[in-house]
Amino acid sequence: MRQHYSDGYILGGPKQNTGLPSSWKNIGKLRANGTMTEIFNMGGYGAYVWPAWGIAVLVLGGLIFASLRTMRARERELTKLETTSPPRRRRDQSSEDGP
Amino acid sequence: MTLHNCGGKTQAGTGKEMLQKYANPKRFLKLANAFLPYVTGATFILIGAGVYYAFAASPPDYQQGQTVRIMYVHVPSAWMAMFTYAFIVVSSAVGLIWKHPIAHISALAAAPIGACFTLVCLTTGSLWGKPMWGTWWVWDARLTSVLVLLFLYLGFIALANAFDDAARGERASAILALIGGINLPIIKFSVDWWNTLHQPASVTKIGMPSVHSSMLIPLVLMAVGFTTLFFTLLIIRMRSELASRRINSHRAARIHAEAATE
Repeated sequence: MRQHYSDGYILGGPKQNTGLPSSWKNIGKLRANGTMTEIFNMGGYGAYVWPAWGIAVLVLGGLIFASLRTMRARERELTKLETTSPPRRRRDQSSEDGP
Repeated sequence: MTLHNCGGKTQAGTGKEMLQKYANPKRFLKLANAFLPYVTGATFILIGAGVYYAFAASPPDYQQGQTVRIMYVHVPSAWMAMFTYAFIVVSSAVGLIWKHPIAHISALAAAPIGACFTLVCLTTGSLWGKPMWGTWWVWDARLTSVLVLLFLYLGFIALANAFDDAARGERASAILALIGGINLPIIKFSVDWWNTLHQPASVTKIGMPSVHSSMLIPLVLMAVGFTTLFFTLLIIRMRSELASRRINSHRAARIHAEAATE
């Protein structure tokens, strides 16, 4: 039994070609005409689906970006410090103040 | 020459103690950097495949229509929000009990990741709830306990950074993490214990998941992809934290060296 949705999705298999097996892999395949509008509208829920995914991309992308930036800055500074460190003094010459 | 260990306390260092202090972080860094390209690649592949399946190769829901696509980002982020907190609980316990040098650092690195996942979970949940339930928010058990989880993350981060002495910050935040651990089973079982608006479990329940395979595949792909993303970000953030501590050590050593030569 095939159910059709107004936005072009077909549950159970392709609409026209009855020769193909109706496996679930064919579910959800967008039809060739009018797909950009359909994608934007998301069956009337476009105003919810796209901001949801957009926020996820922004937040997680922002986290990735910030983490990478911090890591590069700190490691750069560390190599700078390690290559220009002051000459080490021997332990038996260290000051009386100790630790 | 004085040295600062991870806790900020000064200590005269023999060569061996110095080695011990940094051996673990160095060993960890070597291991982490070896894994990093693979876990990054896996993240790209899994999330890419997940997004493809979520939008192009799965059907709309019989009842919910296209809003079901929000599920493919909302549910994995919820799972990761809880997974990350569990990770922080374990790391904090290990740090408090065995005083492993890397434990608190891993908890500190994981906290912002968890906070971001929780934020994504809450906002995508609201955007899913408005068309489906007719409301952006409701103070039911699950939503409230996930909001509490967000506050726990923020509190953990704030507490860890609140002290001049890093060791006290680590200890305080670890204790907060452990106490807040009670929230995890509350989140998980809230939909069973109380009459909630949020739907009960369909995947992680006894017996087969009651989700069709066409929807289970993008869900699992996104979930595993988010997990690899977590580990990628964890490694990156731990590298930052370790570098930061070594920078502080260097700076402190210089100050002492300069002070001694005056």
